Amino acid sequence: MIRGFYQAASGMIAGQRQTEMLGDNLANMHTPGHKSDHGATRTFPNMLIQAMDNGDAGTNGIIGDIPTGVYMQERIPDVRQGDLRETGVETDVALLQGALEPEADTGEPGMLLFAVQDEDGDVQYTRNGNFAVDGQGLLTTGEGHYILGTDGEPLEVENEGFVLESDGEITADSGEYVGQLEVAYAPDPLQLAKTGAGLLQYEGEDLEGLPSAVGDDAYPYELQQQFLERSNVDVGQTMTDMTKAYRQFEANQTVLQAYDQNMQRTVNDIGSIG
Amino acid sequence: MLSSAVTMSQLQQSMDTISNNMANINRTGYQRREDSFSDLLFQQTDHQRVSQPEGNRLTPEGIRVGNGAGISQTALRYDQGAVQETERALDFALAEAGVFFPVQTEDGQAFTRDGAFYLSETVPGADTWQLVTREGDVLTNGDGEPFVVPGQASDFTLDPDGTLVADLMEGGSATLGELEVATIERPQLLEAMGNNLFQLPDLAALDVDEADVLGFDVAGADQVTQGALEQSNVDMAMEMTNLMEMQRSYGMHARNITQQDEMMGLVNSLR
Repeated sequence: MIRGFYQAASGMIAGQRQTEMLGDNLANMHTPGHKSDHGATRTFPNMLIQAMDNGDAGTNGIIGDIPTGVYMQERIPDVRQGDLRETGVETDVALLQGALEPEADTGEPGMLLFAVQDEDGDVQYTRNGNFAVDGQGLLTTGEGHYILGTDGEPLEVENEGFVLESDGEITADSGEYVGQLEVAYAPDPLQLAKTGAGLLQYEGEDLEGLPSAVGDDAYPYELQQQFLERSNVDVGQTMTDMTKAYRQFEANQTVLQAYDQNMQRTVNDIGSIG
Repeated sequence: MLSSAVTMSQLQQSMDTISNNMANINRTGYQRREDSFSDLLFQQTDHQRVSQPEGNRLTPEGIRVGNGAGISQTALRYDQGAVQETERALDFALAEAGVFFPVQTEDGQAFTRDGAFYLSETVPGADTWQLVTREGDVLTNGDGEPFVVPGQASDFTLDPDGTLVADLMEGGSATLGELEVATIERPQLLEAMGNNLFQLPDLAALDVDEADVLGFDVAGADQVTQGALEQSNVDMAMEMTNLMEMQRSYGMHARNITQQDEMMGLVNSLR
């Protein structure tokens, strides 16, 4: 069998996946706090090729190994800070992370996040600071998930006139102290899996919940009310990558056609008489 | 392809919100709305049925494929609009954000920021008049009582303490009562009814105590200005910028769809 046939096909599928991912990045260029994804492709496990029925005993028949194609293994989020945009809306909060020390085991700094309560009552995280106040006077995300304070409880801000200090202390319109907004620290941000509706679930080793960055000088941060963190999708780069993925797809298609022509030769020409 | 199509329809909706704001830019007391986006459902695709270590992975197993972006909230922005002098006695401009005039409509109590009021006969033929909005909905105080003018009025005065007084044609004056404004604690609860009117939803179903969200205040001089109207709070430049941003984004998704279609064409032309 012609092995490259399937390699070219797998290249096309990987190109397709890449385009899907870039399309999703483009879609979220207006989503506050969204982190763009980068595709990591990987070759399929190598296959050992052995000559059949060869007379040369010295090589033991082993020719070598050959990769069997490529696939998109993972989508790695770019966790860098997005730019801030002033909105003038009280329920918009931007999380600006300061200079975090790189983690010993990854060599990369972690990431700071807002803590959110999901439908099942579990804690998930988000960087989307486009909040709202629901009918009960609780602070929620745009989708209605409760934003949590350091005590793990939803924050009751009464109405949209609350004041949020740069460290996350919230005072209601009436002057009453509401609580401290939780800012969680994810040591390895790549362990955050996107679950939709702007939520991120931590799937690292410590599933008990992420440590709080509040009051800890090792994790400096600043909260800005009336600002939003924009998505860090680079539109120019995304469009370029899309063109690249398309050309890669096209090249693989050409290779596939070349193999098909080989096959055609094999089937139609070899053995024809006259 | 599908995610681009989904996102395009959402961008379209966002453009609808923008054009609605623009359409109402000259509407007295109009409150603009603002859309914001969020990512949609993620599907997890696993490469292997039995999970095995896969070499140098950096992220949790599988890949999560997003389905584009959608509008997460269309929030009412109730910042104060500019106040324009009209010199008309029955024009009132609210000078504070988050407060409304209570009116009685056919569908019950409603709220508006449009402070242009007119006189309308209580019953046809009767010589008693009441204050109504442009649409004919009756202005009331906090208890739902209308302001009734006995006979033809020549002028109206709003005293600094909120008392509304009518000067009558036949001489003398009549005290109509205290003009009151409704304070809505959580304006995002309000449902738009059209015609610049808002109403509160079924609070009991939401498990919200009415006293927590709705209050009435006597309209003092610091809250209401007589002889002026509040303009809409739509900022033309900002809306245009947003519109351009949405349009570009829309164009890029259209290109994405074209490209994916071409990719399918390549697959089709394999043989």
